[in-house]
Formats: sequence, C-alpha cells, structure tokens
Amino acid sequence: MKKNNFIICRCEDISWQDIDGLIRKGFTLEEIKKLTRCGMGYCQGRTCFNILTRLLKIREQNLIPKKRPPLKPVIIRDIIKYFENEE
Amino acid sequence: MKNNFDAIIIGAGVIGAATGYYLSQLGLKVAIIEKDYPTAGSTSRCIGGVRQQFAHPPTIQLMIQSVKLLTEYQNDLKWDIEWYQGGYLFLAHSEEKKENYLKTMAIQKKFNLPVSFLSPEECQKIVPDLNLEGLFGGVFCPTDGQVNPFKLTFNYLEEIKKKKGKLFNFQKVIKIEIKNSKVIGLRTNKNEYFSSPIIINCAGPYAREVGKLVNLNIPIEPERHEAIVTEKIDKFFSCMIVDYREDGCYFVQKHTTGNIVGCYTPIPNIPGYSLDSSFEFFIEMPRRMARVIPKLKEVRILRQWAGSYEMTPDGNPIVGETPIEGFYLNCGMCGHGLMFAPAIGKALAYYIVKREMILPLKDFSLFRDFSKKEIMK
Repeated sequence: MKKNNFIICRCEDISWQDIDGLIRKGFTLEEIKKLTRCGMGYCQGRTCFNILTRLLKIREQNLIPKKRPPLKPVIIRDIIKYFENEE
Repeated sequence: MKNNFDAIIIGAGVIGAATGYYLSQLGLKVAIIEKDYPTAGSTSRCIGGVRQQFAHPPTIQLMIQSVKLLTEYQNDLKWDIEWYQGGYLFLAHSEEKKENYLKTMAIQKKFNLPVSFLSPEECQKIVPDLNLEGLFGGVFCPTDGQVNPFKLTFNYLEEIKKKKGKLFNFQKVIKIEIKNSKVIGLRTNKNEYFSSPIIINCAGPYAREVGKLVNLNIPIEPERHEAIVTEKIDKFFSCMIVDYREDGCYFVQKHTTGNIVGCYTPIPNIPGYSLDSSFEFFIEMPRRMARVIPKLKEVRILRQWAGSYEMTPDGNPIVGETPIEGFYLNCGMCGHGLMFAPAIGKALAYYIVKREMILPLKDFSLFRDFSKKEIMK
C-alpha cells in the first residue's frame, strides 16, 4: 500500500483515498458515511471515526455522525431471552 | 442575477432530487434548497424497498413506471444505484388475509403484474427456514426489489449539476414571496434571496411547515417509524418479506452487503417529529423477525434508528398544483417516497413543463376528496 494511503474503516474496507476524494468534492462526514458505509460496519465507527476526526481535526460534535444504539452488537437469541423473562 | 432560477425545489431528499432531475432534463435551470445535507430527512432513514404490489390502481401504474425507470438508470444510464429485483413476499397468516390478497391480486393482474399466490411450501423455496406455523401462503411479485436510497439521490443530484443546476445545503427557507397570487421567489435563513416563477415543496415530513409559509394547509402529519440493521451474513434470501399480522414486521437482506434491514408499523401510531430510538422497538423487532425466520436468532443486531413517515388522511401522496400559481407540491409519500420518486418526479416535471399527464396525477391532487381510505397500504 502506498504511503499516503491506508485503511480507515476495517469493517467495510474503506481507504483514506476513498474518503479524501469525497471530502475534496465537498461532502460532509454524514454523507461520506452513507456513501461509503464507513462507520456502518461491525464496529459501528469505533475505529474509523476516531481516526477520521483526528485526521480532519474535527472538534465540533455536530459534524461527527450520531452514535446509534445498541452500544455493541447483540445476538437476537439474547434479546428474545430478555423478552421472555419480562413476561 | 446569480440567484435566478427557472424552478426552485425545497428539500434535497429523493423526491426533490428526482423532480429536479427531470426538470433539468427538460431544460430548466434548477436550484435545490436543503436545510441539512441531502437525504438527511427521511431518505437516508428508509430501508430501500421498491414494490408494485398496491391495491390502488393509480399507485400500481405509478410503481410500474418507477420500476421501469430504475431499470433504465441501471442498465442504460449505468448509474451505480444497487437496484436489484429480488421480489416482495406478502405472507398470509389467516384465511381472511389470503382472501384480501387474492382480491388485490385480481386488480394487480389487470396491469399485467406477474403476481402469484404461493403455497406455504412454495414460500419456503424462496425463503429458506421460513416458519410455516399458521401460514396460509403468500403473494409474490418477482419484479419488486430494493435500491440504495443514498446512491439514487446522489446520482440525481450529480445529473442536475451537469445541467447547470445548483444545490444549496444547510439553508432553511423562511419566507416565500408572492405577488398577485403567484410565487416570485424565496428567502433563506442565511438571508439569501432566490427568485423563480416555480417553487416545489418536496420537504417530506416538513412539507406542512413549508405550506404554512404561503398560508396553505397541507394535510400531512409525520409519524415515527423505527428500523434496525443486523450484521452481514451470507446471502440467505433475496426478497422483502412482509408479515402483515398486527405484531408483524417487514425486512430484507441487502444484496450488496448482506445486512438485514427491517422495521414495523407501530400500533398505535406515534405522531410527531421525534426521531429517538426506543428500547421497546429494540427488543420487539428482533423477536418478530426471528418468529418469521427462526434461524435469525443467531444473527446480531448492529444498529437501530428512526425516520418519519409523512402521512396523509387517505394514505396517498399529494402531488401537483395549489391555489397559488407556481407553487407545486410533491409530498405526503406516506413512507413510499423512495419507491415513488422516479415516476412521481418525472410525472410532476412533465406536468409543470409540458402540461402533459404521463400518470393519473389528479388522483393525487391536493383538491381530491381525502375521506376515501386506502385498502392496502
């Protein structure tokens, strides 16, 4: 891999060049998330968005895509168990 | 003047983008004003289903046209929109439901839709591990499918820019100016003025708010609908599965990524602009999905979110003219905005520019009788 290119999002296999190209076109991080799926994979942005916000020196919370529940992936079997205990 | 346009569209969701695309193809210089970023409202929150299986004849005609256009974009124009015809399977869990489906199928067949009623075993051939308990069968239309909402919208917007159209993000329309009961332009919260003889309200759940700017009461109420997505799994089924029981749900596996996305219509409905996620949905939705396909118990839920359905009293969209000359509506999609967009964008653009009715738009007019209820959503 070239020096100026590296993987940002391991879950969805998105490189810095993919992201940089879209930033230069004027897309916001929310749009980049939706177009590339960066941050929508298994880790839900834990790895990629930390790298991205540092690289882009973003400090304003509103420019970083929202965090969605649940905190970590939950297997459906466990959710059903919870549901049955409730009843 | 730099802010002079032939038509201004309020809202860069898929409806605004499709309408703008066809207006610009017909030679108009288009501006789209978006209060956030494109797709931020409802488009980016939808699960991407496209179906022709409706009961209302004008809606069936509209959707046949949409499917044709999506196929053209992908095959002829080579747009990367992830359009895939995996079909829609509506499950019948009662004799009564089956009768209803057979009745709507008779209407759909008049339009040559390739729908058929499948036995429970035939349904299981399409969806492996489908739970047959209490199942009377299902209606299947193989030409329905799924599309990527962001990619479709961004393709439209790119084409608009090629035709000298402009997109203004993060600007909210705060005033619409009228002279002699004709629209002449609008002002945004960034104090920019845009002039145009045509303004189209494509503001989705906020369409009623936009209507208030011209003292027009548009009967649209937003409702909260939640959705969920699972981790990626190997290709398992290719159609949208619709379980219309009171505690049913609908979900589809994305053919490009393998994630399963799904949602259900809450009973009672949840009116308002809230886009919060609820714990109730988080425990309820996976249970409903796993009841339809028990194997899904072994799959993980990654994320949940919410979006707005903009509901009209009769469940049909509001498209076309208003009492104010030059002020048009393309809103009230009732959760079907993505699938309606190609055909309804084209139909309104052709009506505005050429006064040509390529679809029965009078059924979607603001001036119709809203008291007639839709049979099948």
